[in-house]
Amino acid sequence: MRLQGVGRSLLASVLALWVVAGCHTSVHSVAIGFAFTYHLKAAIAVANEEIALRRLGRGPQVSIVYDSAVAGDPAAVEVRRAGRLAAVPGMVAVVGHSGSRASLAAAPVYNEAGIVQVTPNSTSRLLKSAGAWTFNLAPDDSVEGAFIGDFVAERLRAVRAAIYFENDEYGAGLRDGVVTALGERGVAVLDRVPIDQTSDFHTLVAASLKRGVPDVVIVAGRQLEAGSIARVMRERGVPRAVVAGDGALVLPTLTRAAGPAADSLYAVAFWMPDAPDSLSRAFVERYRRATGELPQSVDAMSHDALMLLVDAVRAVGPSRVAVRQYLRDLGGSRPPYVGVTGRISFGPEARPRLVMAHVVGGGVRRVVGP
Amino acid sequence: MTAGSVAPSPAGRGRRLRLIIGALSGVTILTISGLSLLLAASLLPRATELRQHLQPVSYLFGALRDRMQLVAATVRDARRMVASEKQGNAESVRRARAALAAASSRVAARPYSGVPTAMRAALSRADEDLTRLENRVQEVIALTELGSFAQARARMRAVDSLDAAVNDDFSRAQGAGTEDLLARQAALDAAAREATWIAGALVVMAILLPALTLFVLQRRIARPLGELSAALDRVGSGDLTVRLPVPHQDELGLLAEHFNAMTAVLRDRAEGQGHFAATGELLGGIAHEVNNPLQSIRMLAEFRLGEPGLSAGQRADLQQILEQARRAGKLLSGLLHFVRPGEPEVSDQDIADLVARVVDLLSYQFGVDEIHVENRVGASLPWVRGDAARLEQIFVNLLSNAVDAVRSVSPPRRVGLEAWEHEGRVHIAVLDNGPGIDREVAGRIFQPFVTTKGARGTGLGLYVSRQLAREAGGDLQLRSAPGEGARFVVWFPAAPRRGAVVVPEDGPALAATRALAGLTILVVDDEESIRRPLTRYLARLGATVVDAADGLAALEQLRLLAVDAIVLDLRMPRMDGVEFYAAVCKERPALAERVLFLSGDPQQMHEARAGALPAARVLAKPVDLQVLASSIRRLVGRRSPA
Repeated sequence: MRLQGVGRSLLASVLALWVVAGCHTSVHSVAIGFAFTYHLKAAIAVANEEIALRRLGRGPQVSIVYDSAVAGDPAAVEVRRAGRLAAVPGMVAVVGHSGSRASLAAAPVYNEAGIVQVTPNSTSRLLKSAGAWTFNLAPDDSVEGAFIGDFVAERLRAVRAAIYFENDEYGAGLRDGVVTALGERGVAVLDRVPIDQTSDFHTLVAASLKRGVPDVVIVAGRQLEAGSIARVMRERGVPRAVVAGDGALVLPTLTRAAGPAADSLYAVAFWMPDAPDSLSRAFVERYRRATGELPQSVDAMSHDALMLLVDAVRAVGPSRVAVRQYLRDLGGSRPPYVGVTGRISFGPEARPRLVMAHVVGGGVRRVVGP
Repeated sequence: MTAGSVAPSPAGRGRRLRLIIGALSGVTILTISGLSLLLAASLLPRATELRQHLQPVSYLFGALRDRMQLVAATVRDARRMVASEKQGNAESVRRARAALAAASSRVAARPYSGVPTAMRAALSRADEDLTRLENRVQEVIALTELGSFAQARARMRAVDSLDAAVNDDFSRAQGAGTEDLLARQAALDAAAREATWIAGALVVMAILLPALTLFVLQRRIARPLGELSAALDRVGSGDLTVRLPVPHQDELGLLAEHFNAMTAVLRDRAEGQGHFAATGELLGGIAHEVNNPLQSIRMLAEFRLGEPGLSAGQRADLQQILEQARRAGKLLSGLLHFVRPGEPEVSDQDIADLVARVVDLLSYQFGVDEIHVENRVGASLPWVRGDAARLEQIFVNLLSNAVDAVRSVSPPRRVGLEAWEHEGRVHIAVLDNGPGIDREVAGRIFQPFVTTKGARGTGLGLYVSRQLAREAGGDLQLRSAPGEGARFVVWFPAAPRRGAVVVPEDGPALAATRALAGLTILVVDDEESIRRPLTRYLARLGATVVDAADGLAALEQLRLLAVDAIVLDLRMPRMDGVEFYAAVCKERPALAERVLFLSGDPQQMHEARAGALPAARVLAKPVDLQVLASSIRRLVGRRSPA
């Protein structure tokens, strides 16, 4: 299975580089890399459409080089992918990689090459020390953990919680953030259970319930794990609210995995398609037109990261140093970038928006957040 | 016009030694620093690369090994629980789960990009397999908690399989790491060999370069300096024939050429001075021979002038004879004084008189070359303090230069002397209407060996004159404008004004009186032409005069007669005046105090003064008879005859 995954990833990468970069990049053009799973390629189409709409005729011609990843690729694969992108002529910046573990594995490559890396949906606090060329668009796991802790204690009024966490940089980081936040709010953590996609959720949930029955279950994992745990809890006759981190809000995988227990699910998002502002509405419209689907949080974050870098290159030129300085200046000597997901800057004043979404009827409804 | 007796050095020649030393130092510094840099460049990048490489590798291996140890302990606990088929007690479960929690903590990012590709894949796979193993062990523990031992055993097989996979991954990573280390060790070995060669070269160069430097310094600096030192010693001991070799056209070569030129000049000067000294000796003899007839002529003329009954024409003729004899004597005296100067004697000098003497000394040249000399140095000037001979030399040099300068122009040729007093200084200007001095030469005219006379000049006259002027507290400067003749100005601090020359108290009256009546005077001179008129003159003044032709005869006279005073010539046959005086001092010390000495040779007078003779009683021939009589009278005073 692994070989198949790696092979597929490699094939997709080669094809993507040939199709997207080969036709549009030259030695003198500016390239922005995009290292994400294939389904996010729609963000490129939307970005290209937006570039055309804005008629950004000034500045260098920007092409977006896509290198497809597969969720759960080993760190070694992410390092190779980063190396490939860094070697593309004219490469100025890269959006990616997919998740904290992948972004952390790739960050040293970009920092050594002097290429800006913007991670749209990575939350590991370890990224803060990844290097001067790495910028994190999403709030880190301590902020997200505090947000979940607030929701669990204040909104759900829970006093006992069990945490299931993906045993990687994302899950372990969010687990630590949540545990800290819950401790500060007087919520007892009954259990911490490491999980992955192949875990025997029935056994793990049963054993955990034997250790103690929580008021709420928190999942620092992805959609399959969060949905499965919600379903097993329901099947065991202990229906409890299941609050998941941002990694879980991928519909419809989440609702399918949860089955009848989907409505018990809450998930953190950085943006929701029902956002009322005009930029969000326009983005939703373009995305729907391009893909026939509603965009999700990670789509909007990726789109913002791409457009932010396109604007930076148009503003300061193809110099990597200048682009990095442009990002640093946001919120300081430059106004924050106004994107679909909100006002973006990377200084201490940055306040990323967090939303708690409730899965209702196969869709999501915001219950907390702007 | 030529300037300087040593040819100027060609451009760059005076810097060759510095260039050699600089080049040698540069080569030494460049070689040693270059080899050091090469050594550093050979080792440092490899050491830095190794350190940078080992950091992530050791971190990843260390973190993985720690996790593996924790998980291995948990696997053992889980295996025990499964084997015992007893539900794990709360404590063992808590301990096992705590170990798993510790293993799953993330405190830093995994630096996979910093390790070689082969190792990276194995390490990341081991890490991910280990994560799965932790999850499976967690499930085994959960199953034992739930009492599902059959499922737990089945899950344990998955655990064992993953455990083996982790170990395999780790072994592969270790293998890749070992290969990588071996490759790096080979690179380090190569670097070490390279460094050994470089260090060897460094040692060799460190030995060779100082030796080469010493060799060059010895050959190009120490040896020439030693030769120069030895040559200076020889010059110091009076050997002016020494010449230094000029093997190289560098600074020391230039110095050697200067030295050779200097010794040549000194040699020429020494020869000139030798000739000068010989001339002085000759002149001294001549002066003695000439002064005696001059003395005779003066005495005869003076004696005859004292006779009554002379006509006005006869008297005028005799006055003319007397005057010309006086002038000839004065000229001879000045000449001798210049060519045979004695030890410096600093005293107040009548600068106007001194300048006039020098003009007199050079008057012959003025006449021959049709040079009109205008001496406007007035007698009213303050006197200056210094040694007369040295001051005279200044003006002789300046006037000689002026004469040489105006010789090159057509008549009228003019040389002038001006004097003035200003702010306590006496200034004397010597000017001419010659071609003047070029601006280029004017700047260094007072430097030694700079001459405008070509081979005829030594280039030392003005240099020496300025030194002499400065020794006297003054200075010598060139103050001529371009296109005009030369104008040199020498100044001296003014001494307190001095009165006029003291005239002998009873000079003019003596001839008409019997001023020496009652005295017995012994006249000792080998020259009959002097002895006779002197005797007659003193007799006319009332003295009883006896005479002797030399010292021995005079001693005999003294044994026979009582003498009040002695007039004694110094240069005589058989026994000269000095020997005679010594005998008188011994036999008649009281009479010795009343001896007047006469000399036709100023050098002899000087030597006599330097000896036992009383300087105040030495009179130079041709002596003025009235001065002689006055002197005798002062000597004898009112004393009764001895």
